[in-house]
Amino acid sequence: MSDADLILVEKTKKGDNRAFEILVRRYQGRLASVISRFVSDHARVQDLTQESFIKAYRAIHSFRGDSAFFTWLYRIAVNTVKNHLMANGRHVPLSDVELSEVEDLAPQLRNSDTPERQMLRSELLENLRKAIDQLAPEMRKAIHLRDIEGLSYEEIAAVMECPIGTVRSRIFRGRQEIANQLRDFL
Amino acid sequence: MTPDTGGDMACDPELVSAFLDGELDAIIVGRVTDHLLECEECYRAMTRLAWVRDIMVDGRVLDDPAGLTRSVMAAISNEKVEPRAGFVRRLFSSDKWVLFLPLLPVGLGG
Ligand SMILES: [Zn+2]
Repeated sequence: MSDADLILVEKTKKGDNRAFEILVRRYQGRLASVISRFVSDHARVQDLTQESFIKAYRAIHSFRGDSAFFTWLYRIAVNTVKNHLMANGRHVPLSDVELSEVEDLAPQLRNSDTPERQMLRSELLENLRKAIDQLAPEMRKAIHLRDIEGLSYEEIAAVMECPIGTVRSRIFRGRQEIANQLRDFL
Repeated sequence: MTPDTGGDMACDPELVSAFLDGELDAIIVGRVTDHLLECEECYRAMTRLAWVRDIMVDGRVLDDPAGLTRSVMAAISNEKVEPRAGFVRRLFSSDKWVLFLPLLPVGLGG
């Protein structure tokens, strides 16, 4: 697991809420995207994401670092979603859904979005595609290997035959350029 | 370069990006994390880079990431995690004293 998560969890346990805020910022998008696999209503996804983080905060002392922080968070979210679905009289065999499965994600339109949301989303994705196209090829490849293929920096360095520091820099500069291109959506 | 307000480390958004990926070397991870806790500039860089990473992975799910973080933090603001008391402190801060009473020297009472 990332040592940074462990450090932030330990600080949270000692009462440093800012440390927890950084964990929220780091994982809220990923958690919301997991939850949106099971719940179509957009507002409900946000609520359940929030609820999962609040539960995680209250249970933070039970996190011992045996698993990755996100894996622990993921289990809390799945239980939160389960409870929500059961309260609404629905049953979904969430135990069948593996983390690796929901992690296998790609940008795509969701059928459950309202037409307005779909339009915004397709506009964003169209601009994202353009921004990615404009990246230098080595930045584009590094970001693709990281964010889409899920490779570690070390694995990317092996694939691209360059030092890990170069991978780190390409990914950072690529993200920075995409952020600049998409600043209107930020 | 942006101002360094966090401990002995200068602002380095490239390290913030690596932090998001869980790819910081053990030797610097503590310093980068401490810096991130102190430095507003790097915190903002993190939110920007996290947003890009999230849409790269899944398109956009959250309309208002900053708003969601705020809601979570507002909800927990009144319930700070209490540092867990150690074993000895727990012994002395509870009614477990009762358990030890029979062990007190019997001569005390005369
Ligand atoms: Zn900084």
